[in-house]
Amino acid sequence: MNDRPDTPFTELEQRLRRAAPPCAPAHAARVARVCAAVDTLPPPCARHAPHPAFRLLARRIAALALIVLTAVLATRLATRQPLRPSLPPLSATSLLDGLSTLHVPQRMTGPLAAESEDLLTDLVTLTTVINERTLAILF
Amino acid sequence: MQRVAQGEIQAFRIVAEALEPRLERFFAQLGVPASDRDDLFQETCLRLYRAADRYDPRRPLLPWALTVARRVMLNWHRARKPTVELDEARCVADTQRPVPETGGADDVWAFARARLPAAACELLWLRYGEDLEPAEIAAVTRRTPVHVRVLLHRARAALATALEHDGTGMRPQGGER
Repeated sequence: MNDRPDTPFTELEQRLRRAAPPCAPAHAARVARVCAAVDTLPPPCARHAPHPAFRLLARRIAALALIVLTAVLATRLATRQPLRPSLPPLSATSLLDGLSTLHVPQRMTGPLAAESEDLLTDLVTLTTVINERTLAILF
Repeated sequence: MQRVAQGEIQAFRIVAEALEPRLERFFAQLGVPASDRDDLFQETCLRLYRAADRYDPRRPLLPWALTVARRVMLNWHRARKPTVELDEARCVADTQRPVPETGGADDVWAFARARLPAAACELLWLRYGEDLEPAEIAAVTRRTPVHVRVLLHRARAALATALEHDGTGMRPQGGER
């Protein structure tokens, strides 16, 4: 298990190994107490303990199933068809035809001409005032 | 353990008899007082029994048992309240079982326990006391094998330095890494 074999033991390592106390004989009373305690327990349920090889096999099967399901899902998503339209196609012109009945033409020439004249008068007045103030400053 | 897992409860006595001296020594070396080792051994055995169906027979039993024992001991350390050991308790414990031989005056393990941190002592004991490989120690202590090798190297170096300062030391000559 050790991938790197021990080099010749140092003096310290040898000393540690030599100084390790030996095991005493088993304490019979202590073992008896443990066995008595164990007798009161239910037996360990071996049916919940799958063989280690079975665990490995189960993991591989689960991984394979996951890969297959992923592949199937990816394939289905890639070949998925677009949704069929549930409503018939609508014509925009047919819907907007009725708007012409709502439109009421209005003549705006008179108000615009009056507004233009007002603006012109204001501009002239403003120019006159500016000229007067400017001349007043200079002279 | 396979027989135990199959419901043969009597087979657990063989396991308990085989493990008791090793666990007793393990607990003693890691500083568990004698008055508590009985409880820790019983708790360890009960956990081993309950987990018998999860034991992998392809792996050695001792590292697995030491892993469980170490966790039981850590739980005991966490739950322990500060107490003062009575002299009478020490006498009772001494009469209950023979005292195993130690290195006597050259007890480098007692010196290591006095001078090194508990984690370093634990690693040194698992390596040189229980004779586990670094990979097995890594499984017991839940570290990587490389980490265990590094920690072992540091623990050896610290122990050698402490021994040298104490006047009984020796210089490390490389050793495993």
